[in-house]
Amino acid sequence: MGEFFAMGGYAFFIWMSYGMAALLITLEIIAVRARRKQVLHLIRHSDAHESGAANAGAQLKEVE
Amino acid sequence: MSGFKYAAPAQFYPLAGKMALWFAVSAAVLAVIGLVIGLYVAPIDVTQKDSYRIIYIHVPAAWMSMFLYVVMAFWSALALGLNTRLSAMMAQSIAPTGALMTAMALWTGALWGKPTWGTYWAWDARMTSELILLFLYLGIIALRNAIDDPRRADKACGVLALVGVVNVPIIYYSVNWWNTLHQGATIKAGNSSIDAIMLAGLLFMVFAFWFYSVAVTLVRLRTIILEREAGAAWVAQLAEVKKEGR
Repeated sequence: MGEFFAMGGYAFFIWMSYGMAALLITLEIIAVRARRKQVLHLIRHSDAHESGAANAGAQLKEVE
Repeated sequence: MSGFKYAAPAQFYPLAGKMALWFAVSAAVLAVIGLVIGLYVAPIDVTQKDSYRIIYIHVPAAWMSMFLYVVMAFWSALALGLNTRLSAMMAQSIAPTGALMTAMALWTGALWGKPTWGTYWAWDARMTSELILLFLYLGIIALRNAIDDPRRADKACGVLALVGVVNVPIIYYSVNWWNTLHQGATIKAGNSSIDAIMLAGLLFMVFAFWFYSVAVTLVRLRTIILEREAGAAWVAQLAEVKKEGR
């Protein structure tokens, strides 16, 4: 196991590469899901008071 | 006609959801197989020893960085030419993932360059043009954020994407056109200078990156559709809009 992680002495280069790839992909997935939740929340929230989702559109685009 | 109905955001939204799930699951399976082959099964390289294993991240990321740009430029051209909303949204949804792939290619390239060439960075044609690609992606994202009207942003970003597409063949052929520090192509149709098991691992990773990009782009596209169609009646009818807390 230790030999595997040592990567023949290239551990730093290998794991910094794979680690960054994993980090970037994880962050992208989190960001994309958070944005979806936020947009759904905005749409839902605005039509709790107004009839229809038209208000949410105005809110998201700011000017309409 | 049947295929064209998906050009309407309301029609494509549910299809994109199903496709995203399928591509995400496939990407995960391919990545697991690719990683096992790449990090464990495949033997070490004769000259580069274990350091060559960066190839399994570097090459897929670099290919996707160029491929996604071409796809983004294609949808931009369609959006500019036919004034189709969904194509512009597709172009918009690709840019962040393209930027991510470019950053990943540059980062892993630097970490591969140090043990192989003795330097993290050189202003060689391949690396410099790839860095320009990153700036193009970031410029397109920044331009969109700077323009309030989405339709005007579509046009401006579309033009920038199309102008920037000349950079892609420069990246691709740079290793042939100039005598670069970066090596030439390893994978050529029918005549690859790479061991079969290494090639298999690489192909699994390429498809994993490809399918991941499709999945994450489609999820982002769905959010963009919701954002930009928020006033439409069909959005209000969606289960995820009606139901609280999901």
